[in-house]
Amino acid sequence: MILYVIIVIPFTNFGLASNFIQNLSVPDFIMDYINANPYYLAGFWVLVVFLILKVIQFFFVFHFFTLDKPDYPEASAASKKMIRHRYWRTIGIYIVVALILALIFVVLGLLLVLMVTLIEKTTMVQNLIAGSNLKFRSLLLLGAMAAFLSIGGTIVSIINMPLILAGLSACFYHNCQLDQIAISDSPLVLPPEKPFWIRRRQILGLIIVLAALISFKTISLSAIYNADSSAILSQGTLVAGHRGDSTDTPENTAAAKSR
Amino acid sequence: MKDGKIKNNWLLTELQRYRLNLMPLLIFECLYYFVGSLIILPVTKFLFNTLLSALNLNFVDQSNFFQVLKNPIVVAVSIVILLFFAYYILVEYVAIITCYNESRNGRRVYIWPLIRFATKRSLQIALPRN
Repeated sequence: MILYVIIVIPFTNFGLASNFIQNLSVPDFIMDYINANPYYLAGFWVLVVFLILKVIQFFFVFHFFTLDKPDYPEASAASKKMIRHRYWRTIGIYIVVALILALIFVVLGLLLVLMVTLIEKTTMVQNLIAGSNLKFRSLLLLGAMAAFLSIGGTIVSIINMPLILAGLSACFYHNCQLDQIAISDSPLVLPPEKPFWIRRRQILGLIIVLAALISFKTISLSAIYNADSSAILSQGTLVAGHRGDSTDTPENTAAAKSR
Repeated sequence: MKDGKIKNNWLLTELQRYRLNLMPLLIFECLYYFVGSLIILPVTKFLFNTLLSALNLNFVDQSNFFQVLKNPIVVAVSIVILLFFAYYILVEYVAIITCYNESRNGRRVYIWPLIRFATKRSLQIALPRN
């Protein structure tokens, strides 16, 4: 289960990966090693296809794990059994939900870019390319667009997986009805005796957490913009060196430096 | 006629039920993202880099990749980190599915009981069979 959660799902990148580790890619130096040999490359793609099929077979494993069987082998067997006769229909529903979400996010992003482009009639982009000074209004628009994209990116990465999982959950409950699988309807989470999180406080809590997230994102963006000064402030003066051409000569030698 | 229509629109009908606990779910996701990306990931990265530096392994590339993998301390620490990451990821899945299940049954979910349940249920990952 650990391997499935931490490697298979992020690697196959079905949009089901946690927003904690959104996708996992093979490091370049390992991919170079695989690409150099056609047998390794073929083996790699066979493995990718195998993992994709496994992820689809185990689409409902977390539902069974949470609601019915807190035992991974049993939960995975149940998921496999449930999806056996509905393989393509489940994939179809997954694709529809994922495509609708992707379309919404892309359209919103494009609208934003289009709006700024139309307002500025592309002069801002031309000025940026030319390196000339921007007008105050352009700077303001650029800042607003960056802020919207940053906030939008954060929100998308937060809600994408729960929305895709909602589609799969709907599929799961529908399949349970069709297969007459009884899922206990007793409460999993008992309400507290004195509910602290009444609706108004929930909204306030959401705003505070979102504000904290956005401020951290803004700070990190400013740090990237002014990387040298932020590195000096946080770590002191950075001393860096190059070890030379370590491919053809021993690294950190005069021969390596001269190449 | 109406029943038939509802049956045909089962996907939308199901999805509409999940709106009940949307707010606690959003708060949970924000908290989860906040703790994960701004606390857990940087701390883990810092600890792992410190460990590699302490073992005189200042970088990982093709030339020393297998040397790093053969080091028992690095392997042990990597396994602990992977276990913790897997646990933390499972907490999110369990919390979301619980939220949808409770919404489906028309029950409101509160954030702290939800977090308590998800963290407790996800501990099952430590069972040898899992």
